Amino acid sequence: MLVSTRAKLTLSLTVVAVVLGFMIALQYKQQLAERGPVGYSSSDTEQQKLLLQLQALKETNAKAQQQLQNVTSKIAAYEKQTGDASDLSQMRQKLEDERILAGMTAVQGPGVRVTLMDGTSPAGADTEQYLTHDWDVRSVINELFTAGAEAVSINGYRVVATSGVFCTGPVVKVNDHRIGAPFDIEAIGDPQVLKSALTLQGGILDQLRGRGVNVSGPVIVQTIKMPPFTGSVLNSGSN
Amino acid sequence: MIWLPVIGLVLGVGIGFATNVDIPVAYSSYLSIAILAALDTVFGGVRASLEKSFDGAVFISGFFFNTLVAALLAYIGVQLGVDLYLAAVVAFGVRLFQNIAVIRRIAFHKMGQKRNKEISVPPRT
Repeated sequence: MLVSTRAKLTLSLTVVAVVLGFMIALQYKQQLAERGPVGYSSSDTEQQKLLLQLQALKETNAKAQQQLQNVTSKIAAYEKQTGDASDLSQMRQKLEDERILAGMTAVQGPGVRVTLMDGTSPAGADTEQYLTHDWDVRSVINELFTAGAEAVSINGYRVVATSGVFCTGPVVKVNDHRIGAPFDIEAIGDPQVLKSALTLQGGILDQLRGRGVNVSGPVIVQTIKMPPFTGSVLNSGSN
Repeated sequence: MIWLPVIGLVLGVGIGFATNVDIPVAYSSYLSIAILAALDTVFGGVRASLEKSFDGAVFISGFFFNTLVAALLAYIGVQLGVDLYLAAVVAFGVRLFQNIAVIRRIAFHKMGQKRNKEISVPPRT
């Protein structure tokens, strides 16, 4: 009798253990699947669709960029083919100059660099006064262009005729790029003229320093490299 | 003989991993409740066997019945918007700990008996 009870006990325990183990394994697998890479379960079709869309868009973008490059290089080739007639070469030179002013080409040359940084306001003072605002950056840029700068950039973004410098909350928007302090403003042109324009007594930098903004420079730099303006000429800075 | 259930457990886990059975995510919570119920029943069975009051039919039926009812309770709770599965978790959790406590006590008791025997019957020449 005792033996039969023990056998029964062992048998039923074994059966139950098999079922229990099976269930635990299932649940464990389930948990593993849930904890896997972010939402790639079969039910997540929405995410997969979006991912596919993103990939397609990226591809289209890359193709368009490639096309643009092809066209640009073709135009350059045609321009070179136009022969050596003197008036043509003059026109070409003019075109090149205009392009530099319009910011369509990468340029390099001597110039000045000035950096605007938010000042630290003493306790109880008006913080507003110590921040670098969009109009401060604008004033410096206008001063540089007035002094004959041929190309100006803010933090590596080229400033062209259609560029705008706008305040958008804590940052400043330049050519639809959001940039924050410190603002590294570089200008290519006659370094001496540019520098003296900025360091004018009671000029823009003096005003900024008087307000408590951290201004370093202007320093003369022998070669400044600037990238071309990227973006649409028609609508940049229109918002 | 006593290792047979352990081997069975390992076998069950192996089958679970080997077969490509998948349960939908929605039913995952029911399975976890069912596992809790099954664990409770297993410990209840071990306790019963230690207390010498084990009944195979009660044990097997209890195992499957508890498991199914626990899952059903959780399902009904979801349908009604009441967290009924919490009731199952609390009930089975409390019983699980009680069973384990009883098993521990019985084990200590047995060990104590053995030692007492050794002490009470010292070898005399």
